Amino acid sequence: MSTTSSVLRAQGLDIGFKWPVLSAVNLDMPMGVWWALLGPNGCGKTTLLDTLAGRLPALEGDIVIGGHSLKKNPVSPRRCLGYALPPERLPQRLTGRECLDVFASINGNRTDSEYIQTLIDEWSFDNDLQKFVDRMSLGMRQKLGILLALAGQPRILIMDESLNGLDPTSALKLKRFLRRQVQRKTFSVLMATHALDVVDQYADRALVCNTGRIALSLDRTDLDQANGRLDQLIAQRLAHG
Amino acid sequence: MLRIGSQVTLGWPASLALTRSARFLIIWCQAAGPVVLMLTLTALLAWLLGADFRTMMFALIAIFIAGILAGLWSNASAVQHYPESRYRRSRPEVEAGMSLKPIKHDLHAFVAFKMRPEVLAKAAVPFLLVLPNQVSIEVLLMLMLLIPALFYASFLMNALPEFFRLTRSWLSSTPVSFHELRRLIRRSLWLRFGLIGIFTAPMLINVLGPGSGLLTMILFIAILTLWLEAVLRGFLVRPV
Repeated sequence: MSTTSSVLRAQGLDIGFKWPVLSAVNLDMPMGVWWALLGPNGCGKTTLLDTLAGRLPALEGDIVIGGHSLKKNPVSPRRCLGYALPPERLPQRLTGRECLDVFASINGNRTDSEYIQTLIDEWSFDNDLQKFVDRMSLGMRQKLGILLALAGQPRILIMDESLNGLDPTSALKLKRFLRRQVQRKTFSVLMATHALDVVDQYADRALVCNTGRIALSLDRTDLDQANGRLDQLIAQRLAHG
Repeated sequence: MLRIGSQVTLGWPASLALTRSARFLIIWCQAAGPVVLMLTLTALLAWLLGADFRTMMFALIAIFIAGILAGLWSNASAVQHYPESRYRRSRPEVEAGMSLKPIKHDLHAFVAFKMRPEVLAKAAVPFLLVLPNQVSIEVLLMLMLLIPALFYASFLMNALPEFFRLTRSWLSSTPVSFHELRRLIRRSLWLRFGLIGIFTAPMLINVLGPGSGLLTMILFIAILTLWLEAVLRGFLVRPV
């Protein structure tokens, strides 16, 4: 059942390359929530995020972002979307500032530089933005990927293990920044992660991918019940089908 | 020598179970190889052209000094502006602001990276080896100008499919379409290839004669047009 405030909706989605990696995925994500995507390595988290971001075609089903179908109109849904590029996908021969210029130009008037500047200042990232991407550390590239995703003031922010490589202080600042924006209903966050503490403390819902489907959906009440032992709760629930 | 010093401790042989002097020798051979080859080829060429000992020595010293100056110049410009990158800049720093121009510069930085002196030196060897004995010094000079221009064109053609593939990959979640990317790059490409054509046509005609020169030029333009159109229409661009 879809709600009017849905920012992301997927129905009967099969994703993969030649054969489905995940089947029958149904999502209905409202504005102002933080969802976490969990699951073992190779279960299809990245493939799902790539498909939702329009980077891979869906084998079956449609994705609606901000009320626009990705199948019928490939451009409009992308205007509502911020995808944090993985470090290896960033252009090596451009500086961080140039990457931001390109994304600002693509997003035109919808880019509010103050919005991004807040995060740049919090991270003290201004000087590092002058560096070429190929000379940035993993953490710097993760930060750049996140800034690029935020450049268009997205309604949904998709992050694929974007906290990897961030130093603890930067990671904390990012999590607090994202939480603030989610509470203000600026955007929703869909994040694939293996960091259960992040899910425990920040996420509103956790989706667990397993055996070719989304096997489990845990809401905030379930997460609170886990009492810091989320791994045990997930194992228990998966064992009971 | 500075580079060799740093490579001994930081380069790939640093992990080998060898003495410092053995590592130094490996790096030195690797670094000096192209220089020795270039000097040998120059001596060979001068000998084939029937140059006397004085001219031969003059050519060798000139090439050696030019090599050192070129190395210092390229190093200085790279270090001055971009101390940490292995990619040399083919342009001055641009003003910050909203612009898709960096994408265009990315292509030319990619070509500049591919056209490193050591790559050019290796690629020029077959051309120098097939030169006939009785080639005049004017023709030789023309060839020395022509070869880098043709290399630039071929490196640019070679870089295009990969450039489009990578750019599509990192912009795939944005509203920018392949059509828009194509439109952004097309004009800059035709301008560069046009300049190369204007630069090389008189030299080709001079070196090969009017008939063959013109025919070669037409063939070159035909291949270039077909290649460019195939790339710009996405036929040669592998999916992301």
